[in-house]
Amino acid sequence: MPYGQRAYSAPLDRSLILLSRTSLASEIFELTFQTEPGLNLIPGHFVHLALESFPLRRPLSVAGYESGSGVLTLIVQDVGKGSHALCGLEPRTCLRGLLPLGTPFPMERVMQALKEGRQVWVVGGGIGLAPLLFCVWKLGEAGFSVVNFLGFRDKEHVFKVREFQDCGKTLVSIGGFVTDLLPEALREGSPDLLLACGPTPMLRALQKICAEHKIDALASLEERMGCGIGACLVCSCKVQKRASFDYQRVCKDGPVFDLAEVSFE
Amino acid sequence: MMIPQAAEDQARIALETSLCGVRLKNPLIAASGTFGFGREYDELYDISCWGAVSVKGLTLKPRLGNPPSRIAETPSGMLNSVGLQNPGVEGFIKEELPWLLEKKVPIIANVAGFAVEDYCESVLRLSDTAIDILELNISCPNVQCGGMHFGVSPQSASAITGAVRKVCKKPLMVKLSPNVSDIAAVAKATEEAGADAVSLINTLTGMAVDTKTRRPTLANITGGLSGPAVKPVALRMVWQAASVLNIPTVGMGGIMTGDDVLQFMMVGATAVMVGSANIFDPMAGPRILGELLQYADENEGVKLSELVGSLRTD
Ligand SMILES: Cc1cc2nc3c(=O)[nH]c(=O)nc-3n(C[C@H](O)[C@H](O)[C@H](O)COP(=O)(O)O)c2cc1C
Ligand code: FES
Repeated sequence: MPYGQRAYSAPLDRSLILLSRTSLASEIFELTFQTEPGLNLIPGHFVHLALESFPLRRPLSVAGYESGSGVLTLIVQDVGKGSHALCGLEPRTCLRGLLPLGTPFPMERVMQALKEGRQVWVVGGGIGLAPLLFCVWKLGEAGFSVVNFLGFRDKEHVFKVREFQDCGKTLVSIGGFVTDLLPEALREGSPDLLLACGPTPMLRALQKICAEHKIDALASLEERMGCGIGACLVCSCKVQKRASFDYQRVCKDGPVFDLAEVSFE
Repeated sequence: MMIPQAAEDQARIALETSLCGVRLKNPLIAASGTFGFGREYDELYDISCWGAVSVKGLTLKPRLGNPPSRIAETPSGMLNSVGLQNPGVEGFIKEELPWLLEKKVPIIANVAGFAVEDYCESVLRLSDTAIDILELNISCPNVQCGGMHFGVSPQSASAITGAVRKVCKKPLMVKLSPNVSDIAAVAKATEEAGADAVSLINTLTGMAVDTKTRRPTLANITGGLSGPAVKPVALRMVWQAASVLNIPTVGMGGIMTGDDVLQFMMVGATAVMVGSANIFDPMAGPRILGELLQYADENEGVKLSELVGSLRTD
């Protein structure tokens, strides 16, 4: 791993009982589930959720987890058939979900940087805000603040801005490209570390900006998945290794990757 | 009431079987390509509960595989176009085999190739290791000239099996493609060329289209269909192959439950492989094993091996 040690916790197929479903914005729902308390869930981890009458499970970023109560939060965009079924579930429905999965954000490294007085920026777009929400929750809880750049398609799709504001200065882009907010901010100085999640065009633009300004960036990627645990190799993404490239598993080696190494084609 | 030791003995006797002289404690084998080299599933449960494990398809040289996206959901199934991403035969022997050997579960090495020479070289190298059975994959639909062209006619299947037989010091099982018009003829040809067993079916070539983008869902355009969607086809093919063979048949295609296993055994499968079920349900292996144990419990004195080919057609 290029960014410190891998956080490890054994995954297990657990039961998740739907507690609540709240509409956050157009097509966007917040679902909370009762699961086990005391799990070692870190921002960037995902859950692989089984849905009745769909063969494949659905990977969903953990958007929040209260260790004491065992309440897990997911944010789902009602786009495909699977997410539509998920967004239509009634409270008390019991699902199976494999968790925690994936290599999460290296939160210790992030907190160490903040402790040393360095700047961390958080850049997200649309449903990509889900894992970042968990990041700022954890960072805010520990008393740190960051600078957030949030992008939304239009004003009907805006959600959770308040939660980001609770963890520091927050700039919002509606309708445009969130990365267009960065040049001006960069004139006042660049961050030491950047955490990102969002659509591929956003990540591609961000990669370019980070390369120009020599900013270390970590991004959580999305890819369609099969097993979710690293065995079937259907979730590969292209990672640049000096002269050659390699396919890495988004579900196991990721979803969080060093943005500079990801090859977007 | 049965004392625990006796119950355990009975379960052992009910489930155990053998394949090409290798003792399997139950007829469940993890299917190639869905189980990696077992490490990831071993984080969830002890993988030595399987009768055997067939590893990801190996090629002589490491392969990166096809570009993403590599998976599509289909009604009751899935398409994949991984394209044999694997660390190569040497990589497997160095990095994966030592760990797998410690698990004390019989190991089936699945070998794919592009030409007769690289199949033979891979098999020669693997023959010198502690693997138990060699599974000759002449049925991968996801790589150009990647094995499947060997599997589509009795002549080519016979030629590759014969060539590999000469260099293979392990029991040789040939994995057949369902993308053929006469499966019995292909199966028979491999038997006559020296195969010790056959396994089938590999995936059926298929495709999916995203109407929003007007693009194929898979970057490779076509992929291999697996899961419950293919089970009726698989059962029919296993039945046709087993009917003409004197060597064992290993059946697979869409197995999700203990009852599915019994169906494959009744049509003639000595053992079965479980593939996509591992992807759909990471605990499929232990769950299906539990269902077989329950069947044995409910049918006292039954031996699964005696069900093989017991289909009544009168
Ligand atoms: C993701 C994936 C990868 C596969 N890779 C291989 C492979 O490397 N070698 C092989 O012989 N079969 C491979 N197969 C085929 C399976 O071993 C099996 O023959 C097929 O999926 C049918 O069984 P199932 O319906 O239980 O999955 C693969 C299947 C899947 C779904
Ligand atoms: S989804 Fe199976 S390896 Fe990533």
